[in-house]
Amino acid sequence: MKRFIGGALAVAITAIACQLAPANERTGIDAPNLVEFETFGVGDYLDHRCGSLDCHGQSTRNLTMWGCFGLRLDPDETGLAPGCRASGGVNTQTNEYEASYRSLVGLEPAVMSAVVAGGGAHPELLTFIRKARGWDAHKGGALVTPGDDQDTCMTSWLAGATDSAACQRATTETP
Amino acid sequence: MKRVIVWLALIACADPVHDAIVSSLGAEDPNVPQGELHRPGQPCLTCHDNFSIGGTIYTDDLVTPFSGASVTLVDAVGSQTMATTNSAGNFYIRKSDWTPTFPIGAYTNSDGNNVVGITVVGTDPSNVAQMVTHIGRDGSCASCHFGSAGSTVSPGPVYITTVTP
Repeated sequence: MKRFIGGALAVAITAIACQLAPANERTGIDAPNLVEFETFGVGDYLDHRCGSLDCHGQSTRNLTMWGCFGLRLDPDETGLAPGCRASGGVNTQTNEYEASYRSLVGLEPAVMSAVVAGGGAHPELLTFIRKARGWDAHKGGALVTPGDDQDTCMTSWLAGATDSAACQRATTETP
Repeated sequence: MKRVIVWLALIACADPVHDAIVSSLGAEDPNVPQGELHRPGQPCLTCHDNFSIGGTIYTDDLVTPFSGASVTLVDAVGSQTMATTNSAGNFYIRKSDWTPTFPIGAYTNSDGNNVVGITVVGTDPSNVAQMVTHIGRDGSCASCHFGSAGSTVSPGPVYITTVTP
């Protein structure tokens, strides 16, 4: 009798669960702007600062950055190798910006949605901000200070008002 | 009981990840004694944890070691050091001599001057190679510079041309 009740219960739960979550349902995400990520210098800054081959320029990392400062995305095998135009290479391509963007935004989608929906008032809810600031354990250490150009580049993007000048300085004035 | 404790202690000290990395480097070349000429092109700091930086410089055929190249490094706070490659193309800097503040890379300092993190100069001073991307934290050149040529995951070996420009 117990087996029968258990089996019936399992079937009932499965049936309800299937009805609650349609297979084709998609959940949206409030994400920061992709165009600004590519054209306002956010992606370049993150690739420059975080995407070296010994850090987040590795596809095995949860947060992976692609671009000319490190790991290249080359699905067509065109011979794209690490190195920007200044060193004889090819600057970051659109599909690399998009891949880095997806990696970053998809890292904590629910938290990202909450931060963006809140106008970027609490960027520290995101792990990548806490790690960059050294508030969470980070093998690369504390890299930014709240309010400096590097921090401003990231947090202004999350707030929907990317400070491209800060991103530019953050990319050129840090090693 | 003592045996069990010793056995547990040995297991506790083992690092299978590190052991696997060391194993992947293969055996020593029987023709090269262990020392500053051994294992060119391999990630030095995997075993030499007393090094801050170590690597191998090749000529432009990416195979022949470049002997006598000078490698100058400047860290994130402007501290500078230099090393010279030996006959195997190897160079290394001990932590006791220089412990850099990472990252090491190119940037414009507060005085507005351009700083290049790593500069390699060949025996002809006009042969210069500069690294414009940066080292985030790994002092082994070969952790990023590996393979026989450039690929999406590596710029290939560090080399400097022997041709006078």
